[in-house]
Amino acid sequence: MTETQRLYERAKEPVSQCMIRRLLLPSVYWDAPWPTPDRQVDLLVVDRAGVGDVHIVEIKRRAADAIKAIPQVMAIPAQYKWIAFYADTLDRKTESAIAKRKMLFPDKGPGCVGVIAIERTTGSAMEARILVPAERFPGSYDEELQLFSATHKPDISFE
Amino acid sequence: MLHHRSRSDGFLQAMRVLAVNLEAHGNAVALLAVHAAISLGDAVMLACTGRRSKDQDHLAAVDALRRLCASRGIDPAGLNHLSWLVARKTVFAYGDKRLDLNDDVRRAQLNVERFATWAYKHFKEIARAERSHD
Repeated sequence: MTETQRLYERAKEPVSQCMIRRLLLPSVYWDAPWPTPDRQVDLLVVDRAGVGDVHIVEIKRRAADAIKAIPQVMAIPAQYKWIAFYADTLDRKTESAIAKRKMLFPDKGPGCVGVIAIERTTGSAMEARILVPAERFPGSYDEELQLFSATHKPDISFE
Repeated sequence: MLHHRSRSDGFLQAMRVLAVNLEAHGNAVALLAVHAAISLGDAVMLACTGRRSKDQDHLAAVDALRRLCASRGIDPAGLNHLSWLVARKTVFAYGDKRLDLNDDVRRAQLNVERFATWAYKHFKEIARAERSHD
């Protein structure tokens, strides 16, 4: 595994903890085949014990790559959509683009892609924090969730 | 119903914030766990029956939820967590004894999390109404 891959894998835990702090007893699935078995999201987080709102998170090592992935993230069915990246890769241009927020909004309708930064703290520990809170996209995924939860066990849950 | 669920959410979130320092905030954490569970139980009753128990004895609310489970064929196991919390409400609020961090406070946290998880899984209507955290 390369260092970049390792950092990508390690990011899942702090980003999950960040979502757990924000939501209420969510179920967290890593590398989840969502919405269909042939597609995968880095994190699928379902609020309220796995029956509430659907959040998806796309994790990238570099901030610029996360920004580039926004159009694909927008296309994933979920009520809340997030990108996450390592804060130390944030350059001035990307920081300015995030501050302006324009690319976080869809062309039409409500919603805003949320932005999470992963920071290295003491030693090799990591912590994720929200730079831009996600705003709700339209849609209901109750049937998809029912099918998904019948065949997948969460990596983190409160049961 | 949303008012009661929202109140429960607030108690739970506050409990988690205070739980960072259990030594200092143990009593508050335990009591918030109790209130979060009671409010969520009320939200369930309101969502499913349009009424909630107004009895000061919260064990009556547990009985009402038990009857609701029976009428819907739902395993009432999750109510044991609510019963545990309700039974300790007075002790947590007014008791003379210092609370034990493991036997009282951490167990209260665990019980409210398990009760809420059970409630959301079996009464999906309370999870799906007006969802927002912002």
